[in-house]
Amino acid sequence: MKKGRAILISIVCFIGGVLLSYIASQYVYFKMKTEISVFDMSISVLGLAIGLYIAVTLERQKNRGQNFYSYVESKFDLLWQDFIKLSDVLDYSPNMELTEISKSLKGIYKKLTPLKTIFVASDYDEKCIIAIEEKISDFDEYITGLESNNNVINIDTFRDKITSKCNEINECFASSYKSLNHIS
Amino acid sequence: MIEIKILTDFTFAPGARDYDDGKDSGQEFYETLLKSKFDEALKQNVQLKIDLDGVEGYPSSFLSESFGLLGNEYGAEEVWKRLIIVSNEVALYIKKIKKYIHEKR
Repeated sequence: MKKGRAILISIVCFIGGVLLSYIASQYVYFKMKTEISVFDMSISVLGLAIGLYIAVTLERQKNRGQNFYSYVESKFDLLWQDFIKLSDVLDYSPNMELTEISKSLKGIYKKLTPLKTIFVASDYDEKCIIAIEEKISDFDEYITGLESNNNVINIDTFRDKITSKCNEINECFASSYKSLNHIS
Repeated sequence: MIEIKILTDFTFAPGARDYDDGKDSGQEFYETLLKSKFDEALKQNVQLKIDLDGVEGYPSSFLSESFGLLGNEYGAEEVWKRLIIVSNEVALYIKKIKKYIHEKR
């Protein structure tokens, strides 16, 4: 129903546009020609049709970009939130169970992999998401490779390095967020 | 085909690298399960299927130690062509395992 109404309005506007354009082309020294020139009329119709086509195409392209951006942005936000949670816990804890760290990292990987696939499959620049994957993977290797006692890592011993690595990843997220904004 | 489902055959929460780090380590997994199952697969000339899904998560040190030892013992190519790795939850684990198998120790 809504679509039919929109088409009707478009047709009325189109005819109005053609008439206006035609009358304007015939307007000479306050005199109006009463006969219709087929050539001028055709030019008016063609000009308006081309204008309409360009407007519709641009609008569609813009909508496509915005839809993609909204979808990717929400997924990206969730991914970053998960990493922030992990880095906050690491920031405050003196010790941490290895299982808790690998569980959090698994949750991050679960969100990261589909997001990377979306970027690679689309025409958008995937460098930022690949950089995040590499940084998180390096962080995983570093932190789960630390010496542990009964599968508990003493975070305090390695705090400076852990904090610095978390900051690096957060910076990577921030710069990726900026490049993501170019999509919109 | 020989199968290992880590969740039911080994642990719900894989540990770190070796025995010194605590229980359910990569070294323990290799020595108590992975090596014997791989030998069995070789003997029968069949594939070894390893299902990674369902556990809390895999520390890189666990994967590095267990699969690194396997690659070192039997040769990276031989190991890689004989394995079927199931990881529907996190496909990245497969990439990591491939890297650790091929890493020279």
